[in-house]
Amino acid sequence: MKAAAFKSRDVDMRVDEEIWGHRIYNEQTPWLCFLEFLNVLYSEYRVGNAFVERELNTLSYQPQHRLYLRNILFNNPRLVAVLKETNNDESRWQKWLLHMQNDQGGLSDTADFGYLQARFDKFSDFAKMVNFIRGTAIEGDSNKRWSSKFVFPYGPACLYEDLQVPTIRGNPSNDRRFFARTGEILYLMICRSDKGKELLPYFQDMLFRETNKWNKIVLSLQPGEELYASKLIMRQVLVTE
Amino acid sequence: MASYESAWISFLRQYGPVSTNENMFDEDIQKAARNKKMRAVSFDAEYLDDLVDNFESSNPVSVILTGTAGDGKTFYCRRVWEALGGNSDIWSRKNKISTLLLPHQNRQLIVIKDLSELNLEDAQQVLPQVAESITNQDTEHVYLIAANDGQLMEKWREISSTPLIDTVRRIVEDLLVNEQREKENVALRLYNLSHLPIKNLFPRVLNAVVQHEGWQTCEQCPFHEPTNGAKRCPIWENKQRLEHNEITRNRLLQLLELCEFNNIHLPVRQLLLLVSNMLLGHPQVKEHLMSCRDVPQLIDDDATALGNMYRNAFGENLGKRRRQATDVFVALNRFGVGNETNSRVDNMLIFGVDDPGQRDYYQRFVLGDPYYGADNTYQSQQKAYLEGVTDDDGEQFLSMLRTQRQRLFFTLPLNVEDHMNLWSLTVFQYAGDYLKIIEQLSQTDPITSKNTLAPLVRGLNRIFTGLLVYKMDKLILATSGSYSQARVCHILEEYVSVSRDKGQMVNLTRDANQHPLLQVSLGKGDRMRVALQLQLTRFEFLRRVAEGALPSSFSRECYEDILSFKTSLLRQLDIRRRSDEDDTESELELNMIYLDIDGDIKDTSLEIQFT
Repeated sequence: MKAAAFKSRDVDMRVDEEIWGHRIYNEQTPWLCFLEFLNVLYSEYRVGNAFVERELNTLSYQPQHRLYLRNILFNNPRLVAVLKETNNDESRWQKWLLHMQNDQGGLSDTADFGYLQARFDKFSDFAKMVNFIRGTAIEGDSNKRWSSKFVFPYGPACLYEDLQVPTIRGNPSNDRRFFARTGEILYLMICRSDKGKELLPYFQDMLFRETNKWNKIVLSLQPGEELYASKLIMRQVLVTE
Repeated sequence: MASYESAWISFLRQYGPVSTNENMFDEDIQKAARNKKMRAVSFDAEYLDDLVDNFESSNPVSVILTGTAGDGKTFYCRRVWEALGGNSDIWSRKNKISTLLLPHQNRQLIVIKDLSELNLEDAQQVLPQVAESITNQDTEHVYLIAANDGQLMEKWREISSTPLIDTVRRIVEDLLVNEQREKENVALRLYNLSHLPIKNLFPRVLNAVVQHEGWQTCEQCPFHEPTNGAKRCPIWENKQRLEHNEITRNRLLQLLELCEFNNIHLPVRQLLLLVSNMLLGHPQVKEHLMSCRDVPQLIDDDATALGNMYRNAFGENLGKRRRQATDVFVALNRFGVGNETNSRVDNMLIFGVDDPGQRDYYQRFVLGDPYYGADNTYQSQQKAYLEGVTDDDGEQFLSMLRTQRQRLFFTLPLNVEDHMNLWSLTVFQYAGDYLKIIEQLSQTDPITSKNTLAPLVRGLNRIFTGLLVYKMDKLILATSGSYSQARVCHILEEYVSVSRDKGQMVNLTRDANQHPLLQVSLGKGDRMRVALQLQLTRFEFLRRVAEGALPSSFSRECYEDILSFKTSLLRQLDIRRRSDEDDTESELELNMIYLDIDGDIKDTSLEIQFT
């Protein structure tokens, strides 16, 4: 009984930390770790710093939010219903746009999804595309909140960070529930391993080509201004606390 | 009745799963043969004449014999030695290296019995000399070297490197890896004894045992042909069946061939062990192998049925640990013969005695074999089981059923093979079809027949798309964008015609080892071909998926193998598109596939206006 009394939560955490340090979170799945890592890498790649740590422990990077895309894919329960309600293409679009305006999360009240109509011949084509991208999503079948589901990384247009989006209007924040910094650690480990130069060409060719067909397809679901919208946020990577 | 003890039977036990059957097999067997004044089991060794001719010729080259333990490397060395007039007394001394004068030009043959036994010092001295001979710098010595395939390269790497050693090391490695026997301008041949097809090997091994002159002594034994058939010696019974029953011999060979096509190699030593155990196995005697002394007691105890060679074939006479430590039994038990069954066979075995519909077969296949089939014990247990009056919940009868299924697997005649669904007595329900393909390939290569290819193509299509498709005249290459590991794929990349069309086709052919390959050609020219090794497990997997099994429920490994085959096909498709200068990146058009209500695959195209 005495031993049980000693076994408090604090001691557990202390042991964990001794083993892992306080930045490696053992419950982050490999996929989410990899996606978080890609976010850091791509952000640094765009400013010419891929796998280069200019000064120790000063890394900060700029992840994307892509809330239009994420609302369309993962916060869009009415899509099938709209498809069934009417056969008229125009009214399908109108109904769906109205739903989106009311139900979207994380964007400003003036958010407009109208750009999509010009990009697809038919509403049903749009629905097929959404279904397809949803079908290949990472952990798409899980019952996680919609803002913690991820598009398969076909290209840079698929990268964004895990967010917590308030149900009533308000700004989204990163609560680090699923992107718990393990990917950041992975990035730093590669930086410090000297192997970054060897790896980078593979990432460039497979994941960072803007002209890649699948990247363009995912980009086609996003408005032109999306990239700039989240430009102000910088994430600081803290290795020590 | 007085028993008669045959020296041959006690010698034959040496080949079986006994503790002395380990390293230095050939040496031990030779010693035992001398002690018992027996001729060791021997048969025409495939390469022996080749080897002797080589060393007797005016221009001999060195030879490396490789293979796994038990393939007969030492056996070959000894036979070559003897054939060239070497003294067998000198051979039996435990020298690691023996030397013999060859007939032409005072050349010396140096035999290294086991390369791995040389210590570093010896190897450092001998191998450079071997290298000189191989590279024709020394023509006065030739070598015959036996080495396990795993250790052959090891020795060459251990010794200190010189340009000469490096050259020879590369030569040997090339021969070994490329599975070649010789190379231009190199005075060396490499024989890999593991590559002998079991189809040629096993019948020789089997006949060498069952036709050995040692059996003649059995004819003087009172249990040889007693008036009461039930009192016959089980060893003799097994020998007769194994020698004369063509169906049994053939099924046994089929099982071994299927192992080979599943990339499991069984060396000669294991084959001898199998034959010896089939003949002598019995669970209730010393070391689980019968000797003549055991036989009268077994007959008195009415326990001869347990010497059943159909059980012994799977090592069921042995303890679990011994069975699981013996390669040949591990390999054969993968077939699950005895555990697997179908209702036709079980209905006959259980209800055949009373069911008029089953009676004919029951009479032929169960009652027709009073020795190992419906013996008294079986019939009484069967009755008790049917009446529900067994004291052990029918355990004993159920284990007898297992044995009977094993017996039926080895004895059902060809004309009822299909009706009784023979191969469903094994885990590999489609093994019969697989064997037919092997047989067919040995006559016509490649096979392009639609009947043969259709189920395989359907299996591939179901795995490639993740959809329950029925299509089998075209191969469907589908993806989920660049996500190749996706389970379900809705984006159509290409249809590949199964029958020949503009260079596209699917067919079955053979690789260099005569193993079957499924080959897909995406266009004209050899470079457009992608092949999949179609070993038994993959064949079974594709056929089962084609019949409705879920891809991930049969074998995870097979599933990943087929997905990676798809990836190679897609890579080839990409190369073709580039050479055709199809620019697939510029237009945002997609072909999506879906299943209609009838399960037919349909495709629809979708375009996005976006730049």
